[in-house]
Amino acid sequence: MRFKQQPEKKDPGENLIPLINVIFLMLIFFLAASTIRPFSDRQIKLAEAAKAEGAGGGLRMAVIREDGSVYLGGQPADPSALQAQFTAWAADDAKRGVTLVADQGMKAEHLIKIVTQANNAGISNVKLLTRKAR
Amino acid sequence: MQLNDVKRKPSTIGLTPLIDVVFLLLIFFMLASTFLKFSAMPISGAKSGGQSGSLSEIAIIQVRGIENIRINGEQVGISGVLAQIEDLVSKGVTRAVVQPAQDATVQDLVKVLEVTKSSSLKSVVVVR
Repeated sequence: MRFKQQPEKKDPGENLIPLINVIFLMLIFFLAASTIRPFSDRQIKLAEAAKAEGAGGGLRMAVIREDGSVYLGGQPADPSALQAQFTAWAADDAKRGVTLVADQGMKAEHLIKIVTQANNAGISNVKLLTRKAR
Repeated sequence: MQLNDVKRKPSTIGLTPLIDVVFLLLIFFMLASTFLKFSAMPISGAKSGGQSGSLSEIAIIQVRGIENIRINGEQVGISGVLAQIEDLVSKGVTRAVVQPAQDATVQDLVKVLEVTKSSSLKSVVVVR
């Protein structure tokens, strides 16, 4: 009894080319159409502004969640740690300023408290990150 | 004279490592990117011993909620803020102090600050 010989397998590279085409297309789409998120806290819902002008802030960011808890570089920070960080930033280069990433539902009074804290530490250029309303 | 006929195979880049890298890049950009448009809005707090000037040049905008804004005591909604400010500007007001009160949220404050920015006020500060 003779078995049919299995047909030889094709070179796998042949089938990969369309796959690569599609992946490259997706890669280029994401590269061109999007911007990198300026912060990584997904619990934050930014306040909406009518206009989007100027890119987001630099590396000096403080994230403030809706309940008022402050995060510096992804780590929770208490008021004294925040004060220390503001002082350190002011001592390094006060002109660079700081960007606050605050939840839209947070109490405005609490935001002002942090703005004042930054101002008292010597940072005059405080910005609030907003997003363009859709 | 006989030359060695060196036959080389056309070297192809290994497809698997290429795909590995491209996949990695793709996943990175898919996770790290966003289609939102961001902007940074300057917020200036009040400084002690700042500018001097007469009190009549300053308007006080108290934000209690989006439809409950008091400009020098007069209650307006967010749609009436600009007209009220321009009316005060024509009477000699050049600066404003924004004070959030009660349950005003960051969103309310941003809306008011946007309006004051588009108005002809020279400087706007926020206080507590």
